[in-house]
Amino acid sequence: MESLVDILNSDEVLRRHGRYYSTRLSIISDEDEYHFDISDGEVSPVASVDPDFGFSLCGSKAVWIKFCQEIPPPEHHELGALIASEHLEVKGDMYALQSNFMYVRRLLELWRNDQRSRE
Amino acid sequence: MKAVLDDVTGQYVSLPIGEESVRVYFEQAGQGTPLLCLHTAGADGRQFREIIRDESITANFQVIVPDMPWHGKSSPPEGWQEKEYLLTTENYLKFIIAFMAALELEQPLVMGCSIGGRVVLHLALRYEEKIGGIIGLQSGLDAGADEYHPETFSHFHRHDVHQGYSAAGWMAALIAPQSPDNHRWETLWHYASGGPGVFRGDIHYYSYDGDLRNQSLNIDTRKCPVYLLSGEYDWSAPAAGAEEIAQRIPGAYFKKMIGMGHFPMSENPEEFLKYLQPVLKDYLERK
Repeated sequence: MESLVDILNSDEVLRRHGRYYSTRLSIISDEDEYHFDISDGEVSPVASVDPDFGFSLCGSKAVWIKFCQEIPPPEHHELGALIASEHLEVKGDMYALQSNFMYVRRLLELWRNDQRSRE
Repeated sequence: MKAVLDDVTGQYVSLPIGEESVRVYFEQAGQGTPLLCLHTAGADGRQFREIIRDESITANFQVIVPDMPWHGKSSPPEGWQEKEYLLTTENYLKFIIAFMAALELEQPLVMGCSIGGRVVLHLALRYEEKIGGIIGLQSGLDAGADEYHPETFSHFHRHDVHQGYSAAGWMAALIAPQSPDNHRWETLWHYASGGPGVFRGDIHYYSYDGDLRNQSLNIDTRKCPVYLLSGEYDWSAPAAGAEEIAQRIPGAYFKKMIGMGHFPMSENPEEFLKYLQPVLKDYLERK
């Protein structure tokens, strides 16, 4: 998790998108959970979801595996595709996601790259 | 890197549309059968930048690409600041017919994508005598009008969300993973640079006003050939929807484009041309 956070904090594009963005973001599957605190774009690992702040991206393990494939199948290749096709449920503050969609998309890209590098 | 001058000409036409006059920007290149190209919602004619420069097409076709009013380099009508932009079937068709008349385009082959892929069907149903044929890219009869709630798309037009980033972030999800990065990001730039409220106003047509489900698709493909090409990765206007349209129009052509998303001509022009060229060849032979 620490190396992933380092990757996120050293990504110039993510830092630029997140300059004024503060929220709590979680990526959740059946087996794993990743929780991030974002404060003006600075990412820190946290232990759990904050039910009153931020949002979670919740999908089954099978969905996240498809998302992480080198060429993901249709409906699984992008954040928006997962949400629109209802493979992913967004729980929590929808505005925090919609108002910074490019940031979240980028973060998820970097998370996916990290997942792929571990296979 | 060497400078390259395109053989594409850009011009403006002041176009009367009903009671309003709109200054419309368009590009054209090539000679032969007129091929009128209509861009997607919230974007502009740059989506056809590679099609209009492809010599295999411009050798036989006069390619004409307008920016719709309010889009790209076309202006909105005077008084835009007092209005909410909403695209309807009626004002969309009025623009296309007025544009065709202004340029004296006789029976053009009309190719449109997404909202353009819908409106070519409206055109064929209503103005069959004025057009030579249609190519629908990512055509669909509907986008869920019965579940249409404008507030669902509020993030595309509200004061506290950057509309450009929001639109680009969401439209990224309609591009296939196989598409080259340079074309992916050019396509998203078009979305990032749209006017305030314009994308959301186009969605009014796409998701609500332009719904065609309850209309018969009575198009005579002997007079007006119908070609439908749809990308595999498009969840908004899925290929199955275009296939259903083709099944309802005797003689219509349908092809699913593998490894392609919602913006074939813009996100992966090289691959798209492999699907488009046989269609254009067939059209010329039939005509």
